[in-house]
Amino acid sequence: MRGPRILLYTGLAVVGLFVLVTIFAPAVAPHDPTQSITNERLRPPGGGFLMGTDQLRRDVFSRVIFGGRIPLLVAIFSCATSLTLGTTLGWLSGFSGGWVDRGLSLVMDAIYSFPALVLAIAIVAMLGPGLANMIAAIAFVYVPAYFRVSRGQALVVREQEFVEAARAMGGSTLRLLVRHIAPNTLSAVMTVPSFNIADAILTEAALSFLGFGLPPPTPDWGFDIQNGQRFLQSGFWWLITFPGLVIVTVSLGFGMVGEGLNDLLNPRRRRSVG
Amino acid sequence: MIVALAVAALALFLPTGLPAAMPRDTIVLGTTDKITTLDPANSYDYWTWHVFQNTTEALVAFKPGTTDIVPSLATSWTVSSDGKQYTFTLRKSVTFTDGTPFNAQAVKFSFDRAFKLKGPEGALGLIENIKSVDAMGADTVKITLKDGDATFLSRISESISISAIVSPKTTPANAFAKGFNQYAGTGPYKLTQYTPGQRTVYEAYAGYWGPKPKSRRVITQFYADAAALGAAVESGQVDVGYRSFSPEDIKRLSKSDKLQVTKSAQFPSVRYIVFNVPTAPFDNVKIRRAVSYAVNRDRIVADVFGGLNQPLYSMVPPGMWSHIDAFPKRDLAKSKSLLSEAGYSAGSKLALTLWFSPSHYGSTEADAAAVVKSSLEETGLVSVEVKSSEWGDYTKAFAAGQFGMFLLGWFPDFVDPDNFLAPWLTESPQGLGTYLNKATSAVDKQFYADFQKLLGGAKSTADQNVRAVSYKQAQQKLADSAILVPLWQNLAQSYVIAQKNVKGITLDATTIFRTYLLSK
Repeated sequence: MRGPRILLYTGLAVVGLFVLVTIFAPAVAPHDPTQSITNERLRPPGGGFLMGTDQLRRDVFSRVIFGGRIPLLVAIFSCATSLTLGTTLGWLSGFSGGWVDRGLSLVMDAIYSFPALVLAIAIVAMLGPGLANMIAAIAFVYVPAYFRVSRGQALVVREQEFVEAARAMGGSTLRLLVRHIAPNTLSAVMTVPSFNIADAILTEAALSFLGFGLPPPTPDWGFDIQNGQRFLQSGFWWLITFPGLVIVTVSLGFGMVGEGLNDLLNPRRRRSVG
Repeated sequence: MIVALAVAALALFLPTGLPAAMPRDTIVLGTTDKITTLDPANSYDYWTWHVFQNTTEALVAFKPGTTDIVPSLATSWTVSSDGKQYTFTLRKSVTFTDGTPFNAQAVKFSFDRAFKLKGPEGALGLIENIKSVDAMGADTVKITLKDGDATFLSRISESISISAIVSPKTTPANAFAKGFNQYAGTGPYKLTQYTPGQRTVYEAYAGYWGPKPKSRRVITQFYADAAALGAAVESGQVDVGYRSFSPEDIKRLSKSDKLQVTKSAQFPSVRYIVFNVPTAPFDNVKIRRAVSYAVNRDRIVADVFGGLNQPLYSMVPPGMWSHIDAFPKRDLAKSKSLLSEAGYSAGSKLALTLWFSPSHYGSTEADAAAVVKSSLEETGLVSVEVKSSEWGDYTKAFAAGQFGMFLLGWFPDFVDPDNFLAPWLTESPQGLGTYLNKATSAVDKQFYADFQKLLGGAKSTADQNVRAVSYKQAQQKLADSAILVPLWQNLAQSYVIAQKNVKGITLDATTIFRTYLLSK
């Protein structure tokens, strides 16, 4: 098996496990993540509590399992939104050229030039905390990633003979876009989401770390790390270590899938987004 | 001055982690608090007032360790029979740290200045009852009030900076002080250095009339957060750390044999739930009482604060005269029966929203809200959604009546039971979010009338025993009406952690931290 395949399959295994565990969290988690389940506060890992308990006597393991639900939800919805929006705008821009292209590219470059996290924080700070607002902010920030790829591909495809031919035969703009541009640019666009999901999960964690997520006691990795950091100095390391490890593993998993897909679908292209 | 600079420079360049090689007559104090505006007429926060409490004096003071009012710049006073005229005899041969003599003119100057400048960030509201201040010769001052007020002496005591007596020579009469050396008090210390966000230096004033400060110099180092303060105390960089340590640091540092931990069981910082009385469903006293029966104070104290704070059963905290444990202990059965009387059942639960502000009350606030939520939900008849907002928005929202149930804290303006009851119930029910003055139900209208009568009456007499009876009745009525639900007393904020060799740490209900009593 060649390198990219190992990368892809490892990534898929991590991502698959994460998605399954997250979906079936109620069946997997040993305890209710929001309820105090023992009399021992800040109990170290072991003896029935795989990852210990937190200051409100809740099971950290159960919180880690449930804690992926919000990041996954936010990542999927925000990616779907930015994929749809970014790709469509990219096709339109690349295909039509002229002032439409120049205008859209300017706007997208402006968004892209901001550090994604800072922009997302600014948007959520403006809209207020909550699930929908986090999704909106993250989706907005990642629109240019899709736009750049689909526009670039559209620019290449529209110059090819079969598109010329279709145009010469009187094909409408819509027909050209749907029948010819879209199918021939999709493979490049499809490598973006898995990088994008990895970024979205990290961004979500950062936002909820900063308190822009759902109100407690909803389990959420970012929030739990924020909660756990004040106990670190006193030696309660397990509160932040486990959610931290899981965030790293899951975003690494999505990154590996992206890298693997990229090499598989576009062997000659190196990673150009993210 | 040169010595002060040298010492400050030394403190600045000391490698972290090594004990400060400070002379024995210098105390290094560490805090995470901040100084806002160094003008007694335009500041209203703990540490800025702390600076004035150590560098200025007022007509009256508190006996350390108690809430008893004792003479300070006034040696004696008489009150007219209607309680509206106070005549103070002033202490003789007292000088300000700028060398000018203290006299009746200076007292008049200080109060007139506060009224003229009307500091927007100041505490003028606390002394607004003053009608006029007149100098009757060099050593006598007559203060005339609009209404008789038994809390008046507390309001002009050393704990209230707007009542600090400052020198007319140094302090600008028509403008707020800028920088740190535009006011002068009578001591015991003089503020000789102030680097915002980093350091202040107090030096003993040689001409001070009273007992010499125990240490000649006090350097205050300002730290960014509780973790940095904890580390500074642990490594010996500061002699005394005060306000505020994290509960985890307090527990950890308590185990050290190099440190001593002092706390005040009477620290008057209280935390509580506020109900917006006219807003459904809180216009029903049964709902409010059901909440008051269901909250689990022991759990909050144990889980959120690791046992460092104290459950609170009255708005007037223990240590304040007239305190009684008026609120009932937790009783889920009672709570359930009140809720079912109000028409709620497991099938149709009462849905509540609880607001809190982590940006003001810190990282433990979300935990406290979570415990309140789960303790209410244990009735099986309530579902609670917790929501948070940033402090600036939060204060605007509750003052505009937008929150039905929310968490708030109180730190007294002056040391009197009145200040733990009247603000929400009669003085500014809207500003503090209870809207009791707009009560809609007949029951709540009656409560409002009762509070007005009880608290108004208590203020108009000077006899503390008579007043105490009224305040006890008011506390009981507050428990019955459950307009506020006291939750815990914030003792964690009162912890002083110091090196073993430090002596003279006094903490009491006045919250004055007297650095002039510290020595090592």
